[in-house]
Amino acid sequence: MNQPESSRDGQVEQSLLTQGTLLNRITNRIRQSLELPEILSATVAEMRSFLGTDRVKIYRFHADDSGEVIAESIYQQRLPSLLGLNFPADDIPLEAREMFVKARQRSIVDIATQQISFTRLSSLETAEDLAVVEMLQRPVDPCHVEYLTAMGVKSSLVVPILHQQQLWGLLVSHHSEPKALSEADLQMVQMVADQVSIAIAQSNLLSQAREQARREAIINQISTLLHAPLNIQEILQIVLKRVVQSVGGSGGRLFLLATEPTTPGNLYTYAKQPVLAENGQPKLLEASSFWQELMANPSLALQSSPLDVAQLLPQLQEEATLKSIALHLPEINGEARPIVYQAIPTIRAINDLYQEPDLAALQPVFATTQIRSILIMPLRYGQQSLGCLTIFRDEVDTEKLWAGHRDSDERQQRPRQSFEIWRELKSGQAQTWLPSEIELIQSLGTHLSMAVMQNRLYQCEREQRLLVEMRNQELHTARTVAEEASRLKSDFLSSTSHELRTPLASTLNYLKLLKEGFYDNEEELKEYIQVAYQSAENLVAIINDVLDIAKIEAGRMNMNLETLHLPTLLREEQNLFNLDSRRKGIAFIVNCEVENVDADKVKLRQILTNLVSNALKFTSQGEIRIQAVRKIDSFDPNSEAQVVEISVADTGIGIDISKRDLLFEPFVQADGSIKRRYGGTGLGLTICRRLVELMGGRIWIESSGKDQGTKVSFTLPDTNV
Amino acid sequence: MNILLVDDDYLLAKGTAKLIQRLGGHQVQITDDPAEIFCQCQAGNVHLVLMDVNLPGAQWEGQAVSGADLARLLKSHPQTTHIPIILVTAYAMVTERQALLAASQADEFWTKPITDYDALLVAIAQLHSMKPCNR
Repeated sequence: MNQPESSRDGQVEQSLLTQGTLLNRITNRIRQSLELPEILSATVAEMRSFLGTDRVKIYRFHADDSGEVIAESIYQQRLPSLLGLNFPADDIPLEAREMFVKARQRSIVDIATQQISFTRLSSLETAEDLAVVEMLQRPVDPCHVEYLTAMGVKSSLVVPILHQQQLWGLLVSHHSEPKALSEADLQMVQMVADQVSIAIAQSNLLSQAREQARREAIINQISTLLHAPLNIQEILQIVLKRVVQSVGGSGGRLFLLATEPTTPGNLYTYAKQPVLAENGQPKLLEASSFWQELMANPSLALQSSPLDVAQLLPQLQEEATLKSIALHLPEINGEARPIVYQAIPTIRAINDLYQEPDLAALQPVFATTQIRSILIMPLRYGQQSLGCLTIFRDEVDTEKLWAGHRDSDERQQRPRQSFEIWRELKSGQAQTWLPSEIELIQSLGTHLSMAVMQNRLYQCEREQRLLVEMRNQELHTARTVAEEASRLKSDFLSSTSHELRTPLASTLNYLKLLKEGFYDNEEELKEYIQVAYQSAENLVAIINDVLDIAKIEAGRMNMNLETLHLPTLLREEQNLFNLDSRRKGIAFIVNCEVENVDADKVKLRQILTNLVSNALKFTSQGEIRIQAVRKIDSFDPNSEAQVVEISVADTGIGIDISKRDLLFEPFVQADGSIKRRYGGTGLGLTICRRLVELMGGRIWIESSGKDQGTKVSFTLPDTNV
Repeated sequence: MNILLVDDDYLLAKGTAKLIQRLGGHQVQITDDPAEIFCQCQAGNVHLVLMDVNLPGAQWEGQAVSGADLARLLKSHPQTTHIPIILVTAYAMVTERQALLAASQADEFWTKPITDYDALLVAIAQLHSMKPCNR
């Protein structure tokens, strides 16, 4: 404080005014900015100009009790700058540090008088009133004198800065000349130190909030990615990259166990990877026992030595549970070990893999890389192990500036003589995993586990759904087929009933007329008997046909295949219809080019009789021609198989080609109205088709249309080649 | 009473007609031609219709029709709605009977073969006598 001497009152007034201004300014600075370095450098500048000393600095303690000058203000280079320099822990002895905290001790050293004075606040509770309750004065330690002298300091003031009742740092004033400080100055410095404490607290809160916000942003971003509409492989690859980047990793890998124990898992890698050698090392990092144990039992993760799994066994009450769990992972180490799962996955943070005894065997795979730190997060969902997330971090070279060379031998005895900058370079340093990073990875890992599990469940559900859909489809088809079969049966039953009742009704009608004697003459009597008899015959024909079909449907129609001489068979058939055809004036031609055929004689006759009687029934003039030839099966162009094709062609009424397939259905005739004129059971072609198919052939109808004649052909397998 | 017997099986219908004539003393006319049916019914010559269901080949206004269709047409026409109709068919299934009665709006349903002509004649007489009440 460089002010002209004036009246004492004036000085006090001036001093109070200046103090108020200073405090206001510093308070405003703290309010205006939340950036700590800015506040601190403003504080030291204000402080120095207020005290009028050569240097005011803020010294911050590190975790290892060494410290660093983080803010400094120097008057006209009257003292050398110490900004950015580190001081060893021993420079400020433990007792002194303790007193700073316990009693808020402030020390003032005057080299000229070789005196050190301490002012102490009574207690922390009453610290706010800043009352000085104790003042001690004693000769200063010669070492301390030597230390300060080496620094070029003649007088000093040290005030502690506390944060959360810990010694955060020191507010230090140095002067190259002896300097008396008033009680008011001291109070002022104390007040400023307290303001700095507040600023530190605020700044810490801010950086915590920022860090929190950053973490949350990363978590949000990754969570969004995990649910992006991409395929899971793409998503996981991107997520892995982001996760690694979020903690400044140099590489990472995501290993997911397969859902089937027999198949290998999926591995995603990003950036730098260890080199897994061929000889001796497992192909996969995750297959090594270290990773396996972490995945299998994450409760081991934070323990230095693996827990004997056997100790945990009694906890398992049900043996079945144990079995199902133990089956889950394949044997990796060649020894079957029951694997016990813990619900909460824990993260394993390895700062320096070369210091980790469990990793000794794996060190060679990292040797060619700069990887030094590893973070392993087992991924789990409930009781299920999903795999693990591994992040690597490279070693770094560090540079630290010390105030003077630290000579470990001399240092204990006497303080060093020089505070010249000493540059300490260290290479291959591990980058320690910070608790906040571990926490971040833990929470990202949890999100990842959930996403992976969700995807698995989704896939599983989708497979199930597809399966169910397929089954439904099958069931639906089966039901349609069954319903169709049932409908056909029911239709057949209904038609059969109808077709049986009609001739029966006729028979009964005429028998009743006969019984009641309702005929007028002999002729009418004969007619009634004739119709009744014919109707009964028709009834029998239908019953026989229905029984035939029922027999075929029930699979009880036996085929007695034998070698038949076809020309003979056809001649017999011709003889059977000779009378009828001659009566109608229709030519009956047989054209047989086949000698022998393998068939059931009775059935083949039945087929031919049916077809010829149909032909005769629907033809009023022209001819009926039976033709038998041997030819290549026209329905199967790839086959050289020969078949015997027999056709019955007529020059009759023909059929509408659209109805030709319908004709093989029971009780169907091409034109409903023809039934009255032509009679028949309506089952002839149905039976023909069944019989032909039973003998291994096919049957079909050709017609050029109405009045263009009809040709029914069927084949029989040719076994006489 | 003049009865119109609709059936495509002429021989069967002839027997039925003869029995009704001799047993009940009614006049029975046989046809399976839709035009003839409407003509006779609209002319007021018909007191009751015995209608077969299965009439293959029967057509009315270009459409294939069954006996049930014809019955419904008669019932829906004001001039013929009063004429009692008995379906006489070889379809005997219970479900068929219900479906046909509902579709045809016929008064009764008899299954072929008719074994009890006396009962049929009683039914015919009742339907005929109830005719004024229905109107």
